[in-house]
Amino acid sequence: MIDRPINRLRPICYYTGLVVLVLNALQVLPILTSVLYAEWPIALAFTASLCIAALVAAVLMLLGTRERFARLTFGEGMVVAAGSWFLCMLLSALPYYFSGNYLSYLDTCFDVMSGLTTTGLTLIQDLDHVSNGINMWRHLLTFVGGQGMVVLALTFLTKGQSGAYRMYVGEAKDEKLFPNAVTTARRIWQISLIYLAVGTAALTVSALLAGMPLDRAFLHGLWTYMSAWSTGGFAPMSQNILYYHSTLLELVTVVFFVIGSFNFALHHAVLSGNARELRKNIETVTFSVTLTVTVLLCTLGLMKDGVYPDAMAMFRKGFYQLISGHTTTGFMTIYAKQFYYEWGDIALFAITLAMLFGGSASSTAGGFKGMRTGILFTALKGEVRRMVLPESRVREQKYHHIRDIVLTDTVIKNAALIVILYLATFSIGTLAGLLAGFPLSMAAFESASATGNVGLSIGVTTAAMPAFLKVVYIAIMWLARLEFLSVFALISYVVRKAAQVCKRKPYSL
Amino acid sequence: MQKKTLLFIIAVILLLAPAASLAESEEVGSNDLIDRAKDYDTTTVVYTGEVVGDILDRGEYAWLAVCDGSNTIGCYVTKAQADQISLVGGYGRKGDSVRITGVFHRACAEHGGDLDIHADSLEVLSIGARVQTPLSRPVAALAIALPLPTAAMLLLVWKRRAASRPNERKILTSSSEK
Repeated sequence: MIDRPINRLRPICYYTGLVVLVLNALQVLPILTSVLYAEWPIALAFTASLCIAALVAAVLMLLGTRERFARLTFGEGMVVAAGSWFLCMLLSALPYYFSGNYLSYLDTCFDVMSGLTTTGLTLIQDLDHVSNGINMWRHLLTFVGGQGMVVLALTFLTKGQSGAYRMYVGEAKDEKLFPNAVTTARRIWQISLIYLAVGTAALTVSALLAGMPLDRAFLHGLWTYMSAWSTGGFAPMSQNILYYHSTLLELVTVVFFVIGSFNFALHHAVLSGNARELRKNIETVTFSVTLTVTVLLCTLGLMKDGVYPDAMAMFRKGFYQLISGHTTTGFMTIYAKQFYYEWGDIALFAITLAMLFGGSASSTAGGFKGMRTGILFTALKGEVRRMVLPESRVREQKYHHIRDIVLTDTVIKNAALIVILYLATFSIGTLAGLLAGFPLSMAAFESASATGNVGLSIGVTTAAMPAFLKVVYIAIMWLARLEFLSVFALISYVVRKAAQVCKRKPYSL
Repeated sequence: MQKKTLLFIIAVILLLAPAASLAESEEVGSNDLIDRAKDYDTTTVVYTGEVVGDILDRGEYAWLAVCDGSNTIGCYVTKAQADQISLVGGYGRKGDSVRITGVFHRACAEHGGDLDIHADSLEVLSIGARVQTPLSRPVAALAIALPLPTAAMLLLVWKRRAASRPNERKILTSSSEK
């Protein structure tokens, strides 16, 4: 029996409001930080922003409270995910705007999208004088964005709530660690919080040994961990990781951003006692291969041009930037322009390639993802075998991810589709850079960084770059992080609704 | 008259003497050091800026982060030189302004390829000070005016949620039938 028709917009509003509320409730932490360090104007800026965001969220939730148990379709789940990300960008940018650390509201939106998508490109002004409260917010956004803000909101839902899995998928995560999406979301957060404790402790000790006082070492340890684990790339000082001049700290960050770039299903398997998965998983195998190839290429380029004086410098500069790019972290121990003036074309090509390959699927990382690269390579290998071997010897192809999975045409098609979309986005970003007047190597490097949600910069991303380029990079970061489909679903939904409104006859209004 | 001329000549010499010593080592900005790092590599440079962040203590030496307004460059100084710094820059603080004369390295072999300056001398040009951060009145007004209405709205959401619970089954049924 149907009691009354359901307005499909209302549950979308409700869940979008919920995500906005949960994310922005985290502003309490920067408020506490600001109060602790007597940064009163910043504390007020966060209080005002939190209230505005909560009011918007409350209105959205009120619109859909009664229909919140309606079952969302996959398309609607995607609309919630993409819509929440866009709205969160607009609202979470308010503290930045009120703080006066940015030249325009567009710049603040750029930094929020960069943080949430764990990209790490930044337009902030005078970072070395930025308050602890703002730094806390920057790193919190990147930490939550890595796990996914929808994933965070799902942890507050009751188990078995309809539509939860559809929103989860909408945020470009499709691993079900448990049959229930809410339990899966909670497990993802458990894993992240376990590493948060270990990582913050390790980086705090590293910062202490680097010569920092205890309270600063703790804050820098916490923020650097949040950035490393989320493969984010933000750092509290303008020199990024170079600021610390510490081999130990660099090594610890490498450990955590590499771990952070692994699939949550892999973490779950390893933490559940299946350590062999690390060796057998298609993504770790692919990562080992692509990392080896790009490191060799990068080293060759740097050696050819004699960029670094010895092996240690080559490791701390060449290898560090490369693995930071490959895991889509974006931590840097050199200045952005050093890439352009010193690295040479071969090394730049290697790092651009590494940024596009990216980390693992269902992780905090961006890029094509190891899963897709591995699937396409396995498919290519299969096609070659099919051409060379007699038909009777050609077997069904499989790949290993937690279990052995048959490689079907649908899997190959889906992987190829997303890789093609990434390449198209990368090309559009490069073209936009060229139109803004940058040379090809710079435009391609920065576009790969935005497309792969990496954050390494060659010097294009500054507050002085044209506004259209900022908008293009914001769109690229958003599209790439949600792996395109959710944003397409949102655009299609908005267009359809607009068309319906336009077609409606006057008497029906 | 001769006395005045003599005094004038002495004054000019005194004024020009430091300038002449500066001419031996070039005063450069961070943009130049980064963009033309190969040209300046292993040469003695003079770099001026504000000390920001932390003094990273490394036993007999320390790292200073010196910002000239465009970029921040790491300067490796002795403990004695670092001890001259009274305030480092940060939120609400303008750090000491220093002039560092030292050897610039594009990729320092001693420090894992860092772009840095090994200081021969450090001169404090001006002492840092606390800076009053202006309070935005509209933001302060919003921060004072909005918490109560926000709390009321959230309470309303909470109550509506509680009130709509009995309808859950009906809505679920209707949506699944759709």
